Amino acid sequence: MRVNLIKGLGRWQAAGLIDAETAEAIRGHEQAIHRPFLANAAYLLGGFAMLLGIVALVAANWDAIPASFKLSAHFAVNLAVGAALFVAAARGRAMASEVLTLISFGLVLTLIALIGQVYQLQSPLWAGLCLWMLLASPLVLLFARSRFVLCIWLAALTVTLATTSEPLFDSFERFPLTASQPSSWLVALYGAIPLLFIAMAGAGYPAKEGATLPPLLLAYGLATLLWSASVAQMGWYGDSANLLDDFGPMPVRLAVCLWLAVMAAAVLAWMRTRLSPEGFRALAVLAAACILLGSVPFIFLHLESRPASAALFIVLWAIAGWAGVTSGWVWAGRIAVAVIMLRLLIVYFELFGSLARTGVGLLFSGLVVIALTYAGVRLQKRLMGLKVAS
Amino acid sequence: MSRLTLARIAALLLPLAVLAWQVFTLERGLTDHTLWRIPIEGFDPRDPIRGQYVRFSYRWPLREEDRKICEEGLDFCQLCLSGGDGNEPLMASISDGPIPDIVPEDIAEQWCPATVRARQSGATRDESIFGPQRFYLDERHASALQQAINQRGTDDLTMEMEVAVTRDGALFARRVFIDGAPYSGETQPVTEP
Repeated sequence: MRVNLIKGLGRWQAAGLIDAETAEAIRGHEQAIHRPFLANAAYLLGGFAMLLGIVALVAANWDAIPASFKLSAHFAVNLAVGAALFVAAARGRAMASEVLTLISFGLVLTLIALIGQVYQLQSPLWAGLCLWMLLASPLVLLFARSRFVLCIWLAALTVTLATTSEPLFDSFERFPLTASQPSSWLVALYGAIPLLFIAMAGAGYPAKEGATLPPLLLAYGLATLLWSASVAQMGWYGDSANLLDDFGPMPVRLAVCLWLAVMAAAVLAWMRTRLSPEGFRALAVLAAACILLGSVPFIFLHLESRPASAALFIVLWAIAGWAGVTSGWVWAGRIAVAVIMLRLLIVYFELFGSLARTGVGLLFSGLVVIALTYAGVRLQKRLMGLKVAS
Repeated sequence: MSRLTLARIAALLLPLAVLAWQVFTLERGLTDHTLWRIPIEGFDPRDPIRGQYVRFSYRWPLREEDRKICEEGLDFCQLCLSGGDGNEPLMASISDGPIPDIVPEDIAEQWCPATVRARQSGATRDESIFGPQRFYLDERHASALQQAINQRGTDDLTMEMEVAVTRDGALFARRVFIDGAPYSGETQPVTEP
């Protein structure tokens, strides 16, 4: 049972909001539906360890074992685990189903690796990973229900997407239409991926009770969008001459940002009726901030302003923290505060100009933030007072 | 049977079906192949990453101008292999193209015993038969091979890769040969000059 709930029950009882009988009934209900975290974690970690063991066995590549036997045995294991997964899911054995989903997911990759070994195929890493994700993602999406397994799938997807950047760049360089600014085309493609995930999440909203995939996809899409916008701030740290060569003239960069803005608008229109008003507002503000603040250093590459880069980064994460807290994701607010503190520390060490200049800048910024926050809180209280009065 | 159940069955069978088909097509291609030994270089067993592999590149016995022509037109280039059977040294030249099917097999073999596509299927632009290759080894042999090379030095060794070349020009590495003998995982003794 969650610790904060236990503490909450004690506080509410002490304040006279609930009586002892109600508190006891709530405790009893929570204990009845409580899932043993440690046992479940141990099962999943055990499954993960077995998967790593299979990866190691395949990688050992013992040539004393004939290739035909290795292949047949692996196919047989995949079939057996798949059958066990099907039966476990049909019988409602949730934890067994999760562990077997994880193992099945990994066994597809090890089989791809084994085929590559046996036939000495020269396919690059990204090709193997893409094949893995294409073949194994349907089974994860249809069987997995736990955040643990879905997070592993998302991590694998992220790694796969990262490995495709170089071959995609090479492909863009080869085709006449994209050959002049392959980097900008890459930004246009990769920038759209987080928005795609947000749109996919929208298909699952309003989310059913206990559904894990839609909120996870939404969180993943927002996290990657925020990360992309944060990385874009580094554009003002690079050599602008080289970057201008890579990304092309301003009209090209503007077109890329407009494309992403249009995509974001379309996704927001799709999500408008699917989220609560507060949730949609937070999503819209954060998505708009990421697109806008991520576009500024991309469009104005020649400025090379590190103080502006730091300022935009902090504003971006402040908005992210606000969006998280207003949506009920308090942990997002804590992460945002930690990131901003770290960035402020980096500002101190970056030393814009001189110690004195940096010191004055930080003092002034800190005072402005405190003043704005105070004003904002007072305004909010006043508005709430007016609302109650009316 | 509900739609979810059917979808789940399909999702479980999909990877098995696709990969079984891949194995089937690879095996079918290899049923008709010839074996060749190609000299190799840049053998660095100290670079094992995924599944313990070593990196090498083929030393194709091509004239430099032919190699450049082939690399510029990688999508269309094929090499014709001949010799290498002990009577004649291995020779490679740019092929005029695929031999028409109407040509009888025995005449085709005299014309060009084996053709190798410069770009193997599924390879990216930079991965051709002229670029770096991988050879997967038993993890126990990689270090022994490293020891053999460390003791004797790369320049002292004649290293070749036995490859299977299929009728459609695909190339599959099979065995490593050192000084004419297949490498079996035993460290070769150092002999004093």
